[in-house]
This record gives sequence, structure tokens and C-alpha cells, in this order.
Amino acid sequence: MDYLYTFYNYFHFLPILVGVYMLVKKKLNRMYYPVLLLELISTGTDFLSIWVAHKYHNNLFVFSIYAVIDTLIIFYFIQQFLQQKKVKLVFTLLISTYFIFSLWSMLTFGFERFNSIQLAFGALFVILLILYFFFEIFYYETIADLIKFPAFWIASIWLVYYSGTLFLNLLFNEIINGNLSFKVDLTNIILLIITNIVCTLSLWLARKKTVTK
Amino acid sequence: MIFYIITFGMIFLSFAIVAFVLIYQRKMQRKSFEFQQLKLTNQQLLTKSIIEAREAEQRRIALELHDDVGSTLTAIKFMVAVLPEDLEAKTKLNSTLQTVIKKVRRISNELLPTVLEEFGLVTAITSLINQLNDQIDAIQFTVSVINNGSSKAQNKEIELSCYRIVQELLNNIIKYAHATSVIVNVKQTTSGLYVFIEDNGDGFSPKTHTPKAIPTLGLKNMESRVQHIGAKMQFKKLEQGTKVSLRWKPQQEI
Repeated sequence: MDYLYTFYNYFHFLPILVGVYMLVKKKLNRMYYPVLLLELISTGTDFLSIWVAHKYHNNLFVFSIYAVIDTLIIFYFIQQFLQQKKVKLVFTLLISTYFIFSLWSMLTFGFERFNSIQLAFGALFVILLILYFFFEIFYYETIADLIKFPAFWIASIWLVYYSGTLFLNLLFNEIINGNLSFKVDLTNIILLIITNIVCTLSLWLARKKTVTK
Repeated sequence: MIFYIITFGMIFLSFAIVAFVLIYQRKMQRKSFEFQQLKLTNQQLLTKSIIEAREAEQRRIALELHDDVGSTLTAIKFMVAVLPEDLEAKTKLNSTLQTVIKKVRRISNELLPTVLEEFGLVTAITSLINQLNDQIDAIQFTVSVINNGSSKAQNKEIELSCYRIVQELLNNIIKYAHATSVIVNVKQTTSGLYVFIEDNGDGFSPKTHTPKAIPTLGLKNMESRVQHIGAKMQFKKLEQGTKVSLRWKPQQEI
């Protein structure tokens, strides 16, 4: 498991390398900056959590804060492609409620506990947002070639990741059974490796002009 | 175990949703593309029918004017000539009749240029330019012709459409350009037909003009004809004036 975890950590650098390279070369589409930012924060959080776990033994507060930032960035990224202003407003209200709930949750239950409910709400929000994004792709027919549309692939892999880890997060406390280490479940690692590969390819695809109607 | 079943179930469901979106959207896009193509084909067929119907109607009116009205007027003219009384009134009536006959001939010729039918496009354009030079003093029309190929490649439909386009372009120059000189170059080769019309007027570009400045109906008609015969027409605004090029190549070479 430890080997897999080390292996997985290297995969974090793939989208970062591609994203930063394209950013330096000024080839990265501005709309995909949030994806690169998310990858940078995600990698930073992972290494920070390792350091925190070694120093304080409890690194779970890092994940609680990361979950909020993660959901906010995903929302920002997806909402750029949404057409319906009213629906955008509804999602903004939902994310604001989620943000307030997360703050309240962290302050009420403390930072030293893995907040499963908070993470599950975040995951549900992301799933709902992506499903609506897919609905708009159908409804408005603005994308000529979906295969050449990087946002679709990024949203798809996020949908797979958040659906796959929804129950994992809900039952996280039971799974680790109070063992506050940085070990994570095999499913999560495999999904993250796939997510990183897809995000890398999508960022590479984002350098080209997206074919739209 | 239940945890893994649920988790893998969720992952499978997500993949299924993504696959569904991808396949269904592509299917819808294909249908939409096919629909657009069908719409375009229908529009082209409609344009073709309209142009053909208009030409047929013009042909009918022209023949009526030439064969019926024109002949009747000529007959009246001869009848008036033999009337003995009132020489002054007779001369006046004769002159009026002569004017009417000329007008009928001109209208008939405009509707169905017989010279085009008999001698082809190059001669018809030259004849049109000569007519315009006779009728309009303010503009000097010059025509130059290069005929390096046979006109076999062009059928009457193509020739008539090209002629109508040139007619409309010259008409627009007369009406709106405030030009004093118009140069028409006609080049007919085995590879196609090229017409260049250059004037020294106000200058015109279809992209920047407003319907208020110049009515768009004539332009639309020209566009329809250009599209109908598969030609290419370009407007180039010069420092003084405009240069229009009309290029037609046989279908297989486009």
C-alpha cells in the first residue's frame, strides 16, 4: 500500500508539469487555470498532510479545509461553462450554504476529526453540478465535438471520482478505525491516479482551440 | 464487502452516465448536421427554382412584347404613315410611336437578351456596354475582351446568370457609385470565365454597407445567382472606387 501511495504521489506532478509548461508558454486556455490551481493545491495538501502527520500525528484538519477549497474551485471551473444564470445562482447559494456549514462543522466538532458529512455534502454538490453541466451539453447543443472538449473529460473524471469516493468518505472513520495515519484506501488511490492522467490529457487538449458551434 | 459493491456500483454508474452523454450527444450532433445539410440542399433547390421561374417568366414577357406588342405597334406606325390628314399631328404621332417601339425593344432585350442567346456571353456584355455608352453620357464605359477558349464549357444557364450579375453590377454603379469611368474586363478561357469590373466611384464593400445606403435585394439576387452557378464573387474597395471579380470554373475544377 505504501508503495502504491508513493507511486500515486508521483502522478500528482503529471498535470502540474503539463499545466505549468503550458502556462509558461502561454498556451493554456484561461478557463482551465482553476484545474491547474486545484492540482497545485491538491499536491500541496498531500505533502502538507504527510508533514503534519509526522509532526502532530493528526492531519485530518488539513483534509477538512482542503475539501472546502476543492469544492469551491470545482464550482468555479464548472460554472464558467453553464448558460442558465438562474441555475448558476442556485448553485452559488448552495456552495455558500456548504461553505457556512463546513465552517460551522469544523468549529463545532473540532479540527481533529475527519468530517465525513461535510465531505459527503461536498461530493454530492460536485456530482449534482456535473450532472447539470451534462444536461446543459444536451439541452443547448453548443459543443460541436465533445471528444475535443477538455472540460467534458475533466467533469467526467471528477464525476467518477466523487461518486466512487462518496461512500468511502462517509465511512472513513469506520475504515481507519481511529488510526490517524496518512494511509488512504486503495480505491481512492486508483481513482486519483486515473483522475490525474485524465486531467493531464485534458489540460494538454485545452491548449488547442475548442471546437464549438 | 457491501462497501465495495456500493462503491464499484457508483463508479460503474458514473462511467455509464459519461458514456451515455458522449454517445447520445454525438448522435444528436450527427442528426443536427444532417438536418442542416438537408436544409441547405432545400434552400439551394428553392433558389434554383425561383431563378428558373423568374427567367421563364421574363422570357415569356419578352417574347410577348417583341412578337405581339412590338409587331402591333409597328403595324400602327405604318397605318399612321398612310393617313392623309393633319401632317403635323401625324408626324407627332409617328414620333411617339417610334419612341414606344424603341422602349418596347429595349425592355424586351433587357428581359431576354437575344444577343446572348445567339452569340454568347462575351458578345452580349460588349453589346450591353455599347448600349450603356449610347444611353449614359456621364459615365465612360470601356470593355476589353480576352477570348482564349471556347464557350462550350458554359451552358446557357451559366451565361445568363453571369450576364444578369454583370447587368446588376453595372446598374448599381450607375445608380449609386457616382463614377465617371467603368472598365469591364471579360476573360474566357478553357478553364473558366472571369469578369472584372472596376469603377472610380465612391467605393463599396458589402460587409460595411447598410441596407439604407444601398438596397440589399439586388445584392441578394446576385448572391443567389453566384451560389446557384457555383461561381465566386469578390468585392474589393479601392482608394477610389471598387473592383469586383466574378470567377466561374467548371464544377469538377472547383
